[in-house]
Amino acid sequence: MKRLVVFLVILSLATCLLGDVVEITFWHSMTNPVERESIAGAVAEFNKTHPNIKVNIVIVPGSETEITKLMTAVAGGTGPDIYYLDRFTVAQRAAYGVLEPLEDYLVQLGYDIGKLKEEFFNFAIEECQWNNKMWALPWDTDNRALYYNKKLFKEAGLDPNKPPVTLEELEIYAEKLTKKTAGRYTQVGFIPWAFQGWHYTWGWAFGGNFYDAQRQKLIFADDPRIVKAFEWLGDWAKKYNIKELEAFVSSFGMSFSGASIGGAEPINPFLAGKLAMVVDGNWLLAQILQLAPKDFEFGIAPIPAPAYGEKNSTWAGGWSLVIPKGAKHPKEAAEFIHYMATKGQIKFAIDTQHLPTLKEAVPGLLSASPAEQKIFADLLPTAHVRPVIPVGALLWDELTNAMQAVVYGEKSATEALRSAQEKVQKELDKWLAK
Amino acid sequence: MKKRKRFWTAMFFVLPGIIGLLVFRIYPIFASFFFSFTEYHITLPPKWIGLTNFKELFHDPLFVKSLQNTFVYFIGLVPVGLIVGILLALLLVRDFKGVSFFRAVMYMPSVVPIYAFAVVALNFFNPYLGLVNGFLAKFGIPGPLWTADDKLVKLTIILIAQWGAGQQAMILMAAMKDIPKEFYESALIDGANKWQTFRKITLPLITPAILYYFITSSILALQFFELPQIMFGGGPNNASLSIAIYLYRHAFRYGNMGYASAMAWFIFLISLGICILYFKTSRKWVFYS
Repeated sequence: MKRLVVFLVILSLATCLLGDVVEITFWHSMTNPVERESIAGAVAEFNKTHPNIKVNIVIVPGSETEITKLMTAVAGGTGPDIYYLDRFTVAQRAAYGVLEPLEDYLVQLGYDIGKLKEEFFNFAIEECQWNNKMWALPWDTDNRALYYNKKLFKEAGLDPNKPPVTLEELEIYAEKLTKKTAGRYTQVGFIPWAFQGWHYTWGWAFGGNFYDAQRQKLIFADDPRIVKAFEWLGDWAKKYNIKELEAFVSSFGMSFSGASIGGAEPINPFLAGKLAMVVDGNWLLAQILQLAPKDFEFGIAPIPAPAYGEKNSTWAGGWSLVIPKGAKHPKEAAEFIHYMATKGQIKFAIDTQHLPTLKEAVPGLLSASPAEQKIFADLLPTAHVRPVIPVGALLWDELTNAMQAVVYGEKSATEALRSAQEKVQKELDKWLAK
Repeated sequence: MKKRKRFWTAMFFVLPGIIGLLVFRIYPIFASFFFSFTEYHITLPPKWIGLTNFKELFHDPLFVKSLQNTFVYFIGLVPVGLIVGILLALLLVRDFKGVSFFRAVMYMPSVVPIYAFAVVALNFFNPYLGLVNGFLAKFGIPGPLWTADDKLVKLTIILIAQWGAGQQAMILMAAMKDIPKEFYESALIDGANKWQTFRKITLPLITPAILYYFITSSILALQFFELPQIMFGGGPNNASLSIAIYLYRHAFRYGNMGYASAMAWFIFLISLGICILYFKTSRKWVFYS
């Protein structure tokens, strides 16, 4: 009897103590072991320094724009407290009512929002805002540049230390670096739309503008520079025969964007020494060091641009941390997000060599990375971001469709851009009217 | 009294099935019908907009393109599948040594998970490294760019889809087995050749199975999704985009559930029309003994 009483007392004491600890759930999709470990380390550190909060990690695999699991969980009232969201969809999710206003909770916790914004790069903060409010804090980022194979440059009689700067140079180099046997490509110099050579990449390189944030109007179809960029892509496709190029990349098990076709991990034609130049993200750097043959010699250069275009243009993507609607402990979640976006990012940049959005994390990144990383870090302050609108995913897909229609010779650049702009503007206006 | 009690006991046991049917089938059907007249983004309440979604469909160039593609799939999959199915059934309906082995082999592709099937098919038809073009090259024929050519990609998919022809071959073969031997014997005595016996005896007597095939395969062809989505994600240049893939994009990428529901109901209406057509004409060509 006595024992039972003691046991009950201890039990009730324990529940009292545990009752003070708020448990919050964090969903993320970083399945890569290095990234996963770094996150787990940061969370353990947070749990130690914040004894009243306990963060539970749940790994929910998924791709960037498909967040069906979160949408259904939120609609059903069983969502997590913190979610790892593709930053370029923050405005869309905020407009859809999937997010809690993070800014309000940060203010309640006593953070100075103005000062907090200063700690991050401008482009990342831009993407976290919708209707003059912060809905997310930025996580890591990425940006794009031209990679070229120095060995193939030498073989073709080009100076390996002089990457192409102008479009004319790019065209001449690409021609010299392309080889064909029996009508089929065995080596290709450059495919502008492969990997990260997206509509945005070339639109900005040509000095164009996609969106007028002041008037809330899409303007790419009216911008002669973007039309010119698309025409240039179309001419390239015609010159090299788009179908032969598509067949060439598909023999590496990928589509132009580098996405796997048919499940197996594609072989990167650039790493295999079959594609001499590519526009790709900073993440390729880690892959080169990991996967490329020992004698692989490469260089990194700014994306070539026409004389009237933008030198050193690049654009940044990346991730953010948000509180989904209906989270049970939004205040604790905000505390955790603030910790992760600052201290967590410093650790993450060192562990994974992902580009940070926190200015303070850059030195750590550079100390842990190969020397080439500096090229990407230096581009961060001037990086572009995709238009911050609630129909960002649709705009992306429509621009992709327009670009495909042009490179496959189905539509003229003006026509394709015009119909994409009208379609997306119509959807955008619906949201703005709300 | 006893009868009634037994009825309720029976109802109790089928209840889980009925609830499942109501919650996961019947309710979503009615819900999507309602949503097709609304603008609905899952997390926000639906807003009634009448027929706007349906009108919008015909002004959406990509929807029109997906409709055209689906039409090509329909034309390609249904009749071609029937011919392949009949040919396979004719081969395997005969009794020869080891026929059961070949029947199993014929059905095997239908057992393979669709994903694995798509991956293998991609390797077959890879323009540069694939087996098909490798084979053609042996005879000095430059192979077409199967998967990379936006004009050829649908044809490639239709060819690949024939690997699943074992399904319909099985049904047609069963129908052929049911035909009494006497018919063939008397045809033989009357001096009919092989083509005539097929045309006048086999074909008419398997028409009920063909009707069944037409209905099921037409519905599947209108909802065609897996192969073009896994293999090409609807590309290149949206040349393999089917209505179902476009519907999926709107529902789960853009969160436009209302518009996606309208597309779903549009497919349903076409399916319904086609099925009515089959039944109306069936009296003329289906032979009911």
